[in-house]
Amino acid sequence: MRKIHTNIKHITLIILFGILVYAPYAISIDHSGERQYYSGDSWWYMEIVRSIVQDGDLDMSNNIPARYHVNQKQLALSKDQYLAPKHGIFFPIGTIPFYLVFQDLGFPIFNLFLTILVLVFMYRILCSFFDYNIALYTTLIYGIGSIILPYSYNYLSDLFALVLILIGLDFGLREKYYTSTLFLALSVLAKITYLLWIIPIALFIAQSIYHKNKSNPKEVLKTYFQLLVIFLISLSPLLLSNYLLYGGIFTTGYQRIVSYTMDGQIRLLSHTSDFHRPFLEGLNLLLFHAKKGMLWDNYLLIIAAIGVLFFRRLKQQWAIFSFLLIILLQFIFYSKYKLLLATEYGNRFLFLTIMLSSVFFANVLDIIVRYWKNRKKPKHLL
Amino acid sequence: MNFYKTLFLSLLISLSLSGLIIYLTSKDIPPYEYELKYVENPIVLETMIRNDSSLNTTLQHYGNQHNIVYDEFLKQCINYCNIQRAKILKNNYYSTRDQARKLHISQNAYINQMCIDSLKQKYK
Repeated sequence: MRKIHTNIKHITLIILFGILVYAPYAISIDHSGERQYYSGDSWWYMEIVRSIVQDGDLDMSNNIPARYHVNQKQLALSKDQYLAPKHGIFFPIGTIPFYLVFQDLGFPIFNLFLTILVLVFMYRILCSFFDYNIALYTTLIYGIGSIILPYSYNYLSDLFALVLILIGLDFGLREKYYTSTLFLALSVLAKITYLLWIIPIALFIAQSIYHKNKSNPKEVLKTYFQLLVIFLISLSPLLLSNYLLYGGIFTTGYQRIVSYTMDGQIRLLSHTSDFHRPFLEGLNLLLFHAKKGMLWDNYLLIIAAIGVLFFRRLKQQWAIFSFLLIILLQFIFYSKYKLLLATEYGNRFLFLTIMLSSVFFANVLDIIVRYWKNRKKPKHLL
Repeated sequence: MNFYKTLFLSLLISLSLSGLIIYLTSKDIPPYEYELKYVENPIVLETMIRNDSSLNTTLQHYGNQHNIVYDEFLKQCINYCNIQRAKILKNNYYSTRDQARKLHISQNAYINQMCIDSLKQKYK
């Protein structure tokens, strides 16, 4: 197991920072204002929680006003032909304890909890590459200078999945591969697209295990098999829910979206047919769209991009390669997506990319700090 | 955590979640009864046109002049509105959504009204 030390005082500071900065947003919920705090998909997720807790089912027809049933493309048709959630159900399930204790205030409190966890695990991941202080400063800068801040008062599965994959990644970097695999699988439960993003992490883990046990191929294969068993067991609730709700273990709500034809007949749509946007057009929108371009909400990415140029100086090169591969895959995937602007800020779909970019931002910070320290040293010591 | 501890934890999580999912999907729920009146197009558009007396008169007059049966002409108008609607959704999705929020109406209702206004302009 690889020992990576973190500073408990720093973690306490990050939690305090999170509470002080984000809590005012969370408690100032105002649905009457022009800016809806719970915009986009948030409301649909909240209704799933209410359906589970109040009705004990996943029939959404009595939770959603009838005028929204087929007009919004936000519900799916179950295999038993009732209106089921289009969105994943594991994020709402994770919210249930908070909802039971705090009722509607449970949504922002759960979101606040997730936001703080993102910062804590970002800090822990950064500690794998840099000293405590660089990790702390980068975390705090990202806490206020990236989309974490505006999304601290939203309620979306993106943040839940992000927390789980960051925990998985953190354990992976500390060579706790079994626990890492468990959390990576849980991130897929939270958001199905995370199945793609865990592939580079799985490759990094596979490489690390191989590197450690080069001389014992049997041990390597045994560990791979054990990880696969944990992964499949952890993923099984998703396969089961797909089967029971939508009729196939690989069929999700996103493939059975309820809509209607112009002559008024029900028809089912699938998001899988929404990946046809020209790549460069999509990339341009992702980065530079007037309202939702990633750069406008995350200026830090510019510095992070400079940090990428110096990635060879970082420790754990295989981990760095996996980060870069995730970032590349996310840009390719979402540039092709027709609904890439279905986000309040730029861009929730690339939350993971933005968080991973913190490593490259910290890289620049580290270079500057080292340069500065060297300059301050008396010349005869150099 | 070692393999067996993690295996135990993953089994515990999976079985708990699976049990909950089986419970949530075990209810006998009747199939969704689709109510056409809630489809905003084309039914709502037709109602909007019929309820707008000045537009309705204009359309009837235009139909008479060009020997088009009213119901047939109405379908043409709805078709025109739906084409406008598709254009608006493609080019002005976010601005219409923001405007609708300001007026506290649904985006669909707002866009439908835009389509009707466009129809009025066409047959003015």
